[in-house]
Amino acid sequence: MIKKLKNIFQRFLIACVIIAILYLFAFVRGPELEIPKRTTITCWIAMGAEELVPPEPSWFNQSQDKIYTQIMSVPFMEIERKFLTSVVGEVPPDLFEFFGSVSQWSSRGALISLSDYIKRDNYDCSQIFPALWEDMMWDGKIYAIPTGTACDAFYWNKQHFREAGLDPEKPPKTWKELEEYAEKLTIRNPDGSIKRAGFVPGYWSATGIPIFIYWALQKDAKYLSPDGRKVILTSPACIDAVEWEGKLFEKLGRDELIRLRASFGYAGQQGFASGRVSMIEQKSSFPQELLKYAPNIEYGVSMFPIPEGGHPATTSGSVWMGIPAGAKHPDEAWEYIKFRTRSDIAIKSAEYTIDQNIITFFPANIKAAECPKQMAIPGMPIFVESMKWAHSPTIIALAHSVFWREYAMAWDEVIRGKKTAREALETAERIIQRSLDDQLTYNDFYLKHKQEQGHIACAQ
Amino acid sequence: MRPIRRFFSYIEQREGLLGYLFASPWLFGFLIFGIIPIILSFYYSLCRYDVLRPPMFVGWENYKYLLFESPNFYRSIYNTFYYTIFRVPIVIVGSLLLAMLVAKPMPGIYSIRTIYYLPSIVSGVALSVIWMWLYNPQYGLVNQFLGWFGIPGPLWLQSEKWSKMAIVLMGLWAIGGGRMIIFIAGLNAIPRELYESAEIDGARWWSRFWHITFPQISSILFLLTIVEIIASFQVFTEAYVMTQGGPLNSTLFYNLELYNKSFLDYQMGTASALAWLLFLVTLCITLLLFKVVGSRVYYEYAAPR
Repeated sequence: MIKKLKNIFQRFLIACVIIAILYLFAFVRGPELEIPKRTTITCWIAMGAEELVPPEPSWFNQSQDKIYTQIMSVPFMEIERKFLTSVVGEVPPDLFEFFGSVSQWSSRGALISLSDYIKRDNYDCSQIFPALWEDMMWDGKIYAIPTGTACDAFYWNKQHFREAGLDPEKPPKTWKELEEYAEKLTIRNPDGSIKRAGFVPGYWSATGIPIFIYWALQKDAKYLSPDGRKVILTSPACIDAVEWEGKLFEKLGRDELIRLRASFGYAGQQGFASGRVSMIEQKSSFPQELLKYAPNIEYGVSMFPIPEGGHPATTSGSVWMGIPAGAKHPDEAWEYIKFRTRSDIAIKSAEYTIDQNIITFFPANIKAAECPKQMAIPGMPIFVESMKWAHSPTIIALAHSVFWREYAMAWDEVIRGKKTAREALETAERIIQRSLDDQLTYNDFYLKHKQEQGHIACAQ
Repeated sequence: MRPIRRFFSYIEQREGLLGYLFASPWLFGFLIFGIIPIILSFYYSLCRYDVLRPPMFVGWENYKYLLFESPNFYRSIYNTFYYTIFRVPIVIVGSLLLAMLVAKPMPGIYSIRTIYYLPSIVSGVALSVIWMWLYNPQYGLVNQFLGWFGIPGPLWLQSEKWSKMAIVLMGLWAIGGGRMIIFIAGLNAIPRELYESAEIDGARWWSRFWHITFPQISSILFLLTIVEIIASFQVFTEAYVMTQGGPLNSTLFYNLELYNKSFLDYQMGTASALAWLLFLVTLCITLLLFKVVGSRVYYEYAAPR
């Protein structure tokens, strides 16, 4: 009996050994890219729909022989989570290029501060549009450098204007004019549904309904108290703007407008591109989209109509580059950032993008944005002018996604006529405030925790 | 002297131990990647935590917020229950009917079963994108089809009244799937003599179904119903791809709320609390079902009590 059991035990041992050997194979890696006598740094960028290979790394690698930059494209839907995991697992890339809110990373210590590098190397911050720096900062320090940006502008269909008896070269300049023109341009079917809408507030593309806040910013709406602890969604400017958009919907016919909006699609099926909307709010990449999907549309670009006593405003996010906390080669990564955002390289990059017909952001570098090739894109002068009035879409850094979700919900309720602007915004304000309070206490706890640990990390 | 009577004999003990030894790699993995994260998630549900920074203990705050202050919590529960209540009967009854249609071995029945099974392979994101096009109010096939009968189709995914129903009806896609296969197996296992003796006694098709088929497959029905309820509590992909919570939070399902809280808002503590509440609710419903219906289910072997 013992003999039989010993046999089983032997077999078990052999099985364990085999499994262990197989397990060790998991550690076999492909050959690492080792360029002799060069430090290799990796950069993660979000891969868009077109799977482009950016040319800047090869320019950088050719221009000097100390550092080699390797780009890794990560699918856009996964890159945030992958980046989060890599930072937590302490194996982040050396560079991270992304768009959207910087402060959701910098406030949590996922990026290192670049202020010391900027001071050390006398980096010229004025070469970048001033409006973009707001989002890059947290707690008085800069955490990322913008490489590209976009802003929102107003587009109108000149052909439709002509048909409705309006001057095609004169877009609406005030809210009142916008209302009048929208009414004139709307064509209805005999059964009451809308065939062509003059203007659909808040409509941008088929996926989701991003809400625009520049209507409120035109009257200097402030969403956050100066000490950053109180959310203000019920300022007069904000309520007026949302109410006005709701009234527009009501005027043109709520249900019909929603039904029309629901039928819009992507690309050639987009509302403006398919000629079913005459005036629209859209991003600065829209002219290139129209060139691709609807080249026959005769359109104009301008800044948004302003209310009485208001001033122009727009929102402008950016594509930025930062160095993750725990990166192995931060100094080399900084060299690449300096190179990439240098004016001459930015110009070269912009020209390359235009030559390749890529629909994307325009340069954050002022000289590059104003270079002749870039200015030749329709609407570019308006975009550059708008940047003087641009705001970052990161309103409340510590409750960024909660803010946009609840604000969008409030907006949706108002335009569907379910609530008044004041009620909806009050509810949203309460929810966002609660979220902000939680995050602030957590943030205070974190700072105290770091002080107690005597932590002098680069992050804060 | 008699040997002390052990509970298991020496050989049985030894074999049991070897069994555990052979299963130990899996047990080890389950402990590290299954059990310990579950326990940790309970701890995190008592904290404020965003993965990048250490957790801050706050006690029952997260639960109190969810149960008493968050408007989205009860909204998401309502949405999920609505979805479950419609989906489970439709899918279970639909699968059963389809299975009854194709259970009898006839020439060519295997091809027909395969054809019925094929739609259920497509799932997740691809399916959601397809249905987004089908549900387009102006150009989608669904409204065009309704238009043939003179019915003006609703806005489906863009309407806060119809969005949930739209997602429920998408579930019809799956009634020819794995459940149908299981039902077919169950139906074919019913002894033929029962039907024959019923026919001799003059039973009609409804009596035959209700008194023979239904009790015989009741164990399968019970299992599949519970599995279906648990699965439909976790609906996520459709809402994430098509509506992101939908017009006015009408498709904000429980799992989507959990995703929003964890990956968008970086509030892992609240998300963990949501997960544990879901676990509790699912557990309660399952236990309730077992208590109410469980004892009346017929098992061919000795019925578990």
